[in-house]
Amino acid sequence: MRNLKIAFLALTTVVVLTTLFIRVPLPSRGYFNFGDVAVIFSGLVLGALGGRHGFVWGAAAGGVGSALADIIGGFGLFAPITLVAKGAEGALAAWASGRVKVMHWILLLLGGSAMVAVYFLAETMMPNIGLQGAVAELIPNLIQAGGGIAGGRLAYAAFARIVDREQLEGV
Amino acid sequence: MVVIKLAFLTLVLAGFFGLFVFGPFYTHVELQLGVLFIVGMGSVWRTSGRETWRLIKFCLPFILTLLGFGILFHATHFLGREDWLQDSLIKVLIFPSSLIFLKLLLTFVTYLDILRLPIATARRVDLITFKAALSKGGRIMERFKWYLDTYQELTGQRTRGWVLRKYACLIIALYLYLYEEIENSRLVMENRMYILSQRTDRAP
Repeated sequence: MRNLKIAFLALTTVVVLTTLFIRVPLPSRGYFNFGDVAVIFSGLVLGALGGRHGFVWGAAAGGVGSALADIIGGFGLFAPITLVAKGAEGALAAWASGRVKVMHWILLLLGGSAMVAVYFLAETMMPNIGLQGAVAELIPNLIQAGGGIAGGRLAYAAFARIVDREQLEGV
Repeated sequence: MVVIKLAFLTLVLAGFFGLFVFGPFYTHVELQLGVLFIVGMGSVWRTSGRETWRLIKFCLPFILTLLGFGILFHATHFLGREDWLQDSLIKVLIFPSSLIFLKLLLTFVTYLDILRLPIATARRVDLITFKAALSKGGRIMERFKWYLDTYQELTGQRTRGWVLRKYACLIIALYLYLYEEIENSRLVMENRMYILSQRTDRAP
């Protein structure tokens, strides 16, 4: 439990920092934000560490970390939506952690889709964004989700290769 | 005192959103323009002109695409509505003003305010370690990035795949570093708390 809490705090910090400071320019929108890569990575690590309750920790790290980054970065307006959207993404990534092959990928894709869907629905309902704004955000969010899954999975595969499961519980 | 301050700020925020975003003044374009101007000036006063401009510049691509879709919906009479253009114009004004206003309010909340909240000691320790990890992580991340960039220079690879791999490495390195840092600082803090409690017990 102690290790899990430390891992949670460390991963939440990683989510905040990568969301705020790692941005790769894209032709479609201003940039690709690496926060989603960290959300998926956090979910997968906390899912492996947390066992049955891993998805709660994954949701908390992804949701709280990303919402905090929104507040610190000046986009507090999106913080409540981000909390739910990235929380769902993190939770499903954590859930995918113990699964293999098809189920693993289905859950990761569901997580990305949940993030895009939550943003779309919430933005449609917001009077200062509306349907036209939500549609404008749809493609960038899809790119964000796809990149997040690819990058997060890549990071976790590399991490699992250097740290095996017994060690993972001590890291 | 802190609770009163936070409650007041929440009330101001609710008032702003209640009046201009969800409320009766939503459709008043001139008023929204005035609100954007006042909020912008407030941000310049509270932060700086450069910071305010940075925020506006960041919203600009989104605002322009929002307007673009508004024009497209208007031209195609999407969902049978005829007010897409008018609605988009309001959103173009209201989106940056609500964003800047919230940012402005958040500048009044300090880290000390959060620590002064009536919360359990364990949560307070979590908050302190998290804040320390955030500032240390920010500094070390720049160093890690520099190391990885040096490697990129050596190998001469500049593809998208390489960028993804580079940042995946950065995330792992950052996590392993922060894990150790948090574990060490918690040990130090717990030790200090234990010694303090022992001293208090021994005090006459």
